[in-house]
Parts: sequence; C-alpha cells; structure tokens
Amino acid sequence: MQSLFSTALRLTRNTADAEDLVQEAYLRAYRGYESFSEGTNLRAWLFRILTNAHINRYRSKKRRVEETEFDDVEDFYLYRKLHDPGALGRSAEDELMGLFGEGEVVAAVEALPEAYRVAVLLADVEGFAYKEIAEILDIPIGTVMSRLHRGRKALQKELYEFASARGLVERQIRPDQTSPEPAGTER
Amino acid sequence: MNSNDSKGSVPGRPTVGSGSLGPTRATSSPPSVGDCAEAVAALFTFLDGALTDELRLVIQMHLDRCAPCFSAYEFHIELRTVVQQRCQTVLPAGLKERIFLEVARQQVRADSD
Repeated sequence: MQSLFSTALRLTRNTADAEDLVQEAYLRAYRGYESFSEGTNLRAWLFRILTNAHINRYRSKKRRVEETEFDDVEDFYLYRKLHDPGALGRSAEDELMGLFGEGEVVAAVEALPEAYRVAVLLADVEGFAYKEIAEILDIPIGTVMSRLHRGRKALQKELYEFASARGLVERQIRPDQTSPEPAGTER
Repeated sequence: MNSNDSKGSVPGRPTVGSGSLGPTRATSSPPSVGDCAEAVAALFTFLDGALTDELRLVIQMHLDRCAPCFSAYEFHIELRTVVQQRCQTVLPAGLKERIFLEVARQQVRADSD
C-alpha cells in the first residue's frame, strides 16, 4: 500500500486526495477481484486501477499530452550542465543525493506534465518494466518509451533549474558578481 | 501530424543518433564496438534493462573503453537512485486501517444485498 500511496501522492500532489485515491483503488480492486485471473501481475493490476481512478477523477483538468515536448532538451542535460567547467562547483565525487533534497526532487517530479510524470513514477520509482507500464496505462510500448524519455529529460531540466535558482551556478560562473540581481535581469 | 513514438517503437532498439548530439550515423552496417552517439541513444533503455542482449554487449564494451560515457552512465544510475529514494513516502497514520475498515463495510453491504 505504501508504494500505491507514494504514487497517488505524486499524482494528486496532496495528502487528502492521495488518501481518497488509494481508498478508491482498494475498493475497486476488491469489487473487481473476481475478474482478476490467476497469472495476472497483481501489483501492475493495482497500479492500473489506481491510475485509472485518478484519470477518471481529474479528466476535466487533464491537459492533452503534447508528445513532442522537451524534444529540444538533450539527453545528458543535467550531467552536462553539472559537469561544465566551473558549474555548480560540484566535484565528481560529490553525491547527487546531497545536492538535491527531498523537496526539490518531489517538486521537480510534480512539475512534470501528468502523462510523463506517471510514466517516470512507474518506471523509476516503482521499477515496472516497459511492458507492465504499457498494460497499466493502456498505451503501446513505444509510447511508454517516448514518454519516459521526454519525462526524464524534463525532470533533469527542472532539477537543474532548482540548482541554478539556489545560486550555485551563478556563484561559480561569476564569482565577482556581488549583486543578487544583476542589472537587466528580467523578472 | 507529428512522428511521435516512431523513434522508440521497437523495444530494445533505440535509433542510433536519435539524441540531439552529433550527426545521425549512417546505419548501413551495424557497428560492433559502439560509439558515443549510440551510447547516448541507448542510455535510458540500458538503464531500464530493456536492451537486446546483443546491443547491451555493444554498449558495455563501449563503456569499458570510453571514460566520459562511463561517467555519464554512472551519473544517471545515481540520479535514478536519488529520484527513487526522494519519492518514497510513509503512509499516513491510520490510513491502512481506515481503508480496510471501509472495504469490509462495503463487503458486508454487498453481501447483504
């Protein structure tokens, strides 16, 4: 139940809605249990019920997926940004875990367009395989892969923006910059 | 309209050079040792454990001899661990009990119908 709740929380972005969503998924699962056949992946089935319940609830708010979003972001975005000479002052030995706190990672995940967010959560957090995600979300495997690809690139971009907003990048690139707001910066 | 998904529609065989780095390689003859563009294109599929055995071997051989790609792969493995751990949450107190109570209540209601 814990991983269902974690996923629900990232989908709904708030605890009360996540609790409701998990409860609804459990009720639906128990009601539909007769239709559950031996040999079906139970965990994937529960996540399918959860994501369907979420989609049904928030259908009206759901934004159409633009499948080409983030195509302009390069594959190794964050890696390259963090390894630019002088950028972030991060040595190769510094751990990413120390660089990005829980709040930032969660905010970056929650900022993803929903279709990408679901795919990234199922793959990177819950460890589902492409085929399982395709079954959970009722989409072709190729779509799973492209959403994951774009979602991960978008996530890296978000994370980099957090790091850069904290001033880590500016500080390193312009050590002589003392004003917190350089002239001409658009707000 | 757009050609979405055409890139990744074959599991385990991402198109070589589909990343924004470098020119698209000619695909007339399949490479045997792999190159950086191929490693970039295969990164996510590799990390997802979804490459074909053949392609995985090519990538692994490339990583053995290319320190920058090896380092980039390591970075992404670490990044995934960070995302995974940071997204874990604890169940709110009493949620499990409340849900099972509600399930039981509805079961009773359904049974008495």
